[in-house]
Amino acid sequence: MRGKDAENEACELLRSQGLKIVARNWRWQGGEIDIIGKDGDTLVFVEVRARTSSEFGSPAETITPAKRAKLWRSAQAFLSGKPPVPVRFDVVAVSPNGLVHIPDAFREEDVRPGVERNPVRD
Amino acid sequence: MFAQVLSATPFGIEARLVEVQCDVSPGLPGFTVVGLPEKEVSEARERVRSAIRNLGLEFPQLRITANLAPADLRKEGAGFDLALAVTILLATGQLPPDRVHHTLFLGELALDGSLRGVRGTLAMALAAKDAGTSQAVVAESSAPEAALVEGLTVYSAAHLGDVVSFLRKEKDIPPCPRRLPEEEAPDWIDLALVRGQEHARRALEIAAAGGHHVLMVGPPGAGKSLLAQCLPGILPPLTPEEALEASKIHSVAGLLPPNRPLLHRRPFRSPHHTISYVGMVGGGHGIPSPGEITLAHLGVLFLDELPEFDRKVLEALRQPLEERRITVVRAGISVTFPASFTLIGAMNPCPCGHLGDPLRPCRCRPHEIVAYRKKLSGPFLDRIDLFVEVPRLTREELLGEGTGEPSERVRARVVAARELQRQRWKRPKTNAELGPREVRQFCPLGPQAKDLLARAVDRFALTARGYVRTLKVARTIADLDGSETIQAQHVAEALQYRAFPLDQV
Repeated sequence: MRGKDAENEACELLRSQGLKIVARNWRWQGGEIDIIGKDGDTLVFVEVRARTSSEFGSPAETITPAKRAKLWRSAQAFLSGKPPVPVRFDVVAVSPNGLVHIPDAFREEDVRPGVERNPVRD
Repeated sequence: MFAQVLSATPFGIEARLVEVQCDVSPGLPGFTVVGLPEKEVSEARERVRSAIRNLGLEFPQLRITANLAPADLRKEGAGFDLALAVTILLATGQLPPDRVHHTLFLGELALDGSLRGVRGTLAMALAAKDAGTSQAVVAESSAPEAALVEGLTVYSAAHLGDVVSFLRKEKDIPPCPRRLPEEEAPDWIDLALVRGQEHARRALEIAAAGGHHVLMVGPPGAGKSLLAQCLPGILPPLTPEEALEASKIHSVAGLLPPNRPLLHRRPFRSPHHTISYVGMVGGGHGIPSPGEITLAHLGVLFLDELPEFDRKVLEALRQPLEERRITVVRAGISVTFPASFTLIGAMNPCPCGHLGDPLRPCRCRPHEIVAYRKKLSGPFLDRIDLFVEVPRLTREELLGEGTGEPSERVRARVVAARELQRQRWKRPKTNAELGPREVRQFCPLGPQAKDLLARAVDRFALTARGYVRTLKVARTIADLDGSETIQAQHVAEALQYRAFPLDQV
């Protein structure tokens, strides 16, 4: 099971939790967001990570700071020009043992640790 | 959604009030702290987030911007944690706003929400009260310290949960009582234990009465350290204002025990001779912290083995010995610390320690003795009023019972002499602080005294400064005697303390 299948399964899980899917595989030149959904008023950006074996750690651990930064930039691109809304970043880890949903997986300080001044405005 | 509460940061030995403002708005989630936070203040984000969540309250999945105003003041310490947590809960409507007005919040959060005390609480509580704040919510362990401030209602909380239920009016916290420490047995060494050394005992009494700096010179084992430790016991007790001032300094340095928030004895500091320049005068990274001379403010600074101290450290003492304060300048911040202490130095007469000893021969060569003495510069020695020789005890003194006068009786005379000085200057000021002009005005000499001093000027080749110093000491001796005019016997006694002992040997 990989790629597309994992994302389909993740979508099923999120829908069952009451999330409305807004977009899938939203692309721009700087990257891609697997799933964009709406949880009430909150816009949720979801990254799906699949692994065929847990031998090398859980899938959630494969989200490196660089990957987080890329997701962050993609989200900024998606949001630009739109009125401000509450935003959340989730991760769905897909492994042979099943699916794990991690809501609110990271925030700005996890994306750019140590950066205090001139925060990028949304 | 915006909220604001009051907190504070230590600044030197004072404190500055800081407004902690918080704005929660939609957008990419994050928690930013602006307003020149030091590392430990930025790290508050993790503590605040965990503490709020572990309390079962909601940490907003929104964009949180916290601002610490004024923006140009460096913010130090973990004391902002509580204020940050409260503003976030206020801004997200989880707390009602009516109990936070004119309230100071101070406390460091643990991840589970329990509160820890912060250093400098006393200074911060005083600053808050001066700015018109009427109440404070502080961590349990520093509450007794904050409660010393009159006119400030202090609520002590052990946990963020206590603060939340207090602000929600679900629970009332009784105000922390203002508790003054009860008298306890003095821990200084009583003068009655000192054997012999009549001359040095008298010198200590004069030093205590007039605030004069002392240098004791004598062989090892003569009792110099013991004598120095007796000095706090014969100084007048701290007045309430002095106690508060000294406690404030020790609070900022984190030296106040939580169960005894108010210092009730004069501090006695005896730094080792390996102490660094910064350790002595104050400094360090960020906002300068007080050094030993400031911790000894209103008390005694004892420097044992004086010539072993780093020359730079001793020379740095010149300004505070005279002006009784020190200004520390560090990277754009300048802080003035009070440093009104009585210096008591101790040293051996020569490197081997036995120069002038009738029983053991000195093994030093003349140039070694010169080099040893030279470690103390002329300008440094000029600021010391009393030089006293502390010789080896004789067999009779060593084997006899301690027959000395107890500290209490000596202190009574010292207090009386200080009272005379206070009446003369209309404020607490000691004879040691007199300027040359004041010396001429306030040290009237009797005819015989004048004659004796004139002869001393010729005989000992007294310099202008030596003359002033002798007069100041004579003034104190006359005060101890209860005499307004300085008599011949006062001058005669003062002349004994005039010069470095054993200089002629």
